Amino acid sequence: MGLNELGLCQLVDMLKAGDVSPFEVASDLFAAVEAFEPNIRAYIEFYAEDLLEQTKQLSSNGGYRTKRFAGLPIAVKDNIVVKGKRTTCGSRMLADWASPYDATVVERLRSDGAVIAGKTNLDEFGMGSSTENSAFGPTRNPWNTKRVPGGSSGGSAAAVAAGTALAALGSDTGGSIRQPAGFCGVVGMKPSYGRVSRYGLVAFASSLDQIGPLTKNVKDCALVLSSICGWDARDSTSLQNGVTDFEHAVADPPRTFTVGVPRDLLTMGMDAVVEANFNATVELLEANGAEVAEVTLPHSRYAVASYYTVANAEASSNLARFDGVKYGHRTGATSDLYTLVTRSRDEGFGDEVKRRILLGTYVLSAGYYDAYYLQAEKVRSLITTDFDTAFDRCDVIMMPTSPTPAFRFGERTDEPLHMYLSDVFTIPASLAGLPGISIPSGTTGDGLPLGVQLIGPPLGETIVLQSAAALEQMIGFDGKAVV
Amino acid sequence: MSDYEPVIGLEIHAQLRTRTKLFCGCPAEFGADPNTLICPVCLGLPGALPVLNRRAVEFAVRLGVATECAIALRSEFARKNYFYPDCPKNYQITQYEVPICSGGRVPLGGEGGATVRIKRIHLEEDAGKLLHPSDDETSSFVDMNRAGIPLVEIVTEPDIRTAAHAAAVAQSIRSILRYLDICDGNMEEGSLRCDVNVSVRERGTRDLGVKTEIKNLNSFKAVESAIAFEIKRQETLKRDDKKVEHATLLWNAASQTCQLMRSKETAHDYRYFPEPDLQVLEVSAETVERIKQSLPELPSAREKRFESELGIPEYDARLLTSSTDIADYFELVTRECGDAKAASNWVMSEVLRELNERRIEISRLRVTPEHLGRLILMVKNGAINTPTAKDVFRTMAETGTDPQRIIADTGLGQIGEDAELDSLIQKVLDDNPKVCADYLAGKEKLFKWLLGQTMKASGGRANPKRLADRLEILLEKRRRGG
Amino acid sequence: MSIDKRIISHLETLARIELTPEEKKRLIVQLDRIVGYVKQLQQIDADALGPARATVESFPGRGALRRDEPEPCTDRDTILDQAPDDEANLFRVPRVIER
Repeated sequence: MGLNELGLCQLVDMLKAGDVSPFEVASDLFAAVEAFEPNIRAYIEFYAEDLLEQTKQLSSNGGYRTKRFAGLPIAVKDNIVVKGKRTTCGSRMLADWASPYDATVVERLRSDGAVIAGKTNLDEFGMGSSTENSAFGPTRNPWNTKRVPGGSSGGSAAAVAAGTALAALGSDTGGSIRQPAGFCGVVGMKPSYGRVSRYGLVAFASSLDQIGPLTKNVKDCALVLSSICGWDARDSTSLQNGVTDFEHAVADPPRTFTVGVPRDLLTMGMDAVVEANFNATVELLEANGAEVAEVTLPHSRYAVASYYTVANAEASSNLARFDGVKYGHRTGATSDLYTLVTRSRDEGFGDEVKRRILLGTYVLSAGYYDAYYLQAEKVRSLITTDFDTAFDRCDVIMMPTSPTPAFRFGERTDEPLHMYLSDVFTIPASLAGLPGISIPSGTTGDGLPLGVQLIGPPLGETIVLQSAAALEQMIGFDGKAVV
Repeated sequence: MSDYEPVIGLEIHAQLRTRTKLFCGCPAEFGADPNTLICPVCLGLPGALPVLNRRAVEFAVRLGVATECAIALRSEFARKNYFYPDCPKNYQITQYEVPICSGGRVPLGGEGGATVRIKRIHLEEDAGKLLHPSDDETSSFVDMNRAGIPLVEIVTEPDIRTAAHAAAVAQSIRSILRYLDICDGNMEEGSLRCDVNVSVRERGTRDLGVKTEIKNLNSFKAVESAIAFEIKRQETLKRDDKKVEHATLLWNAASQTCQLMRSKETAHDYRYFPEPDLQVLEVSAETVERIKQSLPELPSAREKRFESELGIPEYDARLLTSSTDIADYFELVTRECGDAKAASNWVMSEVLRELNERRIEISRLRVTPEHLGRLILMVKNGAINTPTAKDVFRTMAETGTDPQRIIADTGLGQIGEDAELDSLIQKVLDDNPKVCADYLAGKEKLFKWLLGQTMKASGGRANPKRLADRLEILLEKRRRGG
Repeated sequence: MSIDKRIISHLETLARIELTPEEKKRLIVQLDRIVGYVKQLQQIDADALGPARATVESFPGRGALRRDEPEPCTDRDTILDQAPDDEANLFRVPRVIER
């Protein structure tokens, strides 16, 4: 078994003890990438040379051992900028764009002794639920390469599942970390809005985007979150308070906790196999002494509609900067500015991005703003209030991560709305800015992983991670991708 | 009188004198090498985020307080979406539904003192600069140094009725910006930009007509001329029963005409929505109060004080308070000479003339307020007359010397003409025939008494040696029976 | 039908996206369906709370304002090296004609 198959925390312990060197870990990781990457295609760019060189240097002196990550490689989604490296966002628009600066999360990972392993694939600008919308081709699900890995952080999820990343950062706007984590049988967490700096995350929908970890287990997730979280002077929406040591919190989970189950939302429709798995998980919790309470989230059934209005409105504005003037793709010779901009954008953006920009433009335009955008923001308030009420009765809320397991390539590409509905359980927490985690909860008969999601109150990362750690232990998931 | 009444409102953009830009740490400077004052934030690079400059907020509140606006304790930033190559993100971060200041008034009314209400003042970021070189007609170029420099936009209600008043209001706004030291008000460099909205309506009606917006007004003269031109154009259209079309016009100073920039058909749909990268802006009541306390005396308050306490006419008071430095100078002169009206006359005529001729600020004028005060005193005491004092003032402006020394050195204060001395002496001799006769009879001691009398008659302005010479000559003349 | 040819053309202009005729045809159908779906929001009486302005407001901490102190700028060449077209240290675009 290669070192790359071990968990992050386990490896950190071994590195700190001097049992292995960062270079040995990197070498095993590189071997796994060479073996599996042609089949999985989780990376847009794997920094093989940087990785081997940097870990070799680290290994030559022991200084790395005092750092949180002790010289371990971590991958980041390719919508997070790394200075001097390409950040494509899975788009033709930015195929050759190299950032002149580092994202805050990248600085934090590095100062904690991590080495950036490479950039993982994604749906273009984070817009999608299958990683099929990448200008550089889709990523395949390591559990079944005929299936999608989910999205938009499909590359990060697939790499962790395939053992080609020890851990990865993703970004979650409406479920883009949790849903692919569920599809790929790994742990994925979206922190509270404002918990992690967005500086250097290429924006899709600014009021929803959050960076979070994808890891092999809950403890690893807590380790990565502890590193990247915390106030950042460069992000006005980042929060100035909160516990930042989740690592030790998960080591000591509470004996009992109350799990709220929103039965009303679960009637929205899901595969029988998902429902059976979810009910079994509820029973497992009760059997292990956790309290289960019924809660209601009456307005969350409108979450998808609210989300696609708000998120795309923001996206239409965020993506306006890509005009072929300052950076990014520019169309061939034209003497007319208007044509230059429109054609550059038509060539640079894929179908889904154009659809969303146009939809976002529509809901903000004169005559439609109140009925669409403003109404969607009002409904968002109602959804948030429902959560507040629900948390009076429970510590965390549990739902399936997705209504189905990983679907086949091409199955939903012609039906955008059908694709959007696969985020029905992840979107409510996004709109309310709440922390949510997806952990593996079993597999289907034909060997596809399933996930459950735990959602906590505002800034409730500690209870979310603690209850997830407890549930993880109860489930004892030992499935493994068969790459 | 015309059958039509113009209705005019102003939209003034003023660059704030902060050290850095509104949302990033790049220096907010004019005239740097192109594209050197840029960073991921002001260039709108993917992933970059805005963080609001505290001082810009403070400056906006200062202006709001000074113009009697209500300061919003919670205001909001919004995105104004439009594509333009000088706009790095293709949206501008501005304030829309809830501006930081609203409902104030322009402190100086301008001509006639009619009150002009301020509708709102909001914070926003400036765009980059587009250059259209004449040697390459197929290209335009963009310098992003200016992108992100903080602006306040001051919007007045359409309370203005004449072109001259509009220019006066714009000047008042500039003077308050300078008083508050938040904008240098340089229209040529573009740190103060004035757009105007003009419509005309039939006199006596209350409905507003279709308005046009005029941009590119880079002097107060241009403001006045452009509005006058536009009023005339709209009146002519109405008189010919033609419609005024909603449009944006550009003032062309060379041809003294307005040119069409865009018509209503291409009007923008800016799709404003709350800026999700920034939080609601909170300004506490304590902060507003602290800023209020720290404000310098405002031109309007000072103007009133000059009128009531110093008895200066309204016109003089307004002129004197148009700049802090001039008002300060005037007050020091008054303190020295104790005569505000005289001080005001001197400052408004001689001092301003010197500043204009020398093209200098008052801080560089070599005549100190104390010296001018002393000069005024000498005129008041009759030590010198006014024409002489003006000559002395010119020398003071030239050399920076104390007026007394100038007078002593040049004899300007003394009677220089023999004829003048002679007539004084003749009068003294004629008035004292007995003394004169006694002297001529040999009582030589009386010469001193006669000298004393003539000196007294000259008001002390005669040069004693010269006076004695002339007295001796004239007495000799009488001795010989002249 | 919420989305038709006329509206799509207007949106294309606003969003500066030029669609091919085939794209346009397909998008009209897709967008119309999506708009039809999000329209369900309009049935909800949601005025009780007002819009969710900045989710962060419901949390304690607040982003601080920035002190007015200069920070280093980005090297011009690094930026202009990635510009599609530049000359004399300026970004170049086709001649801007006021529209």
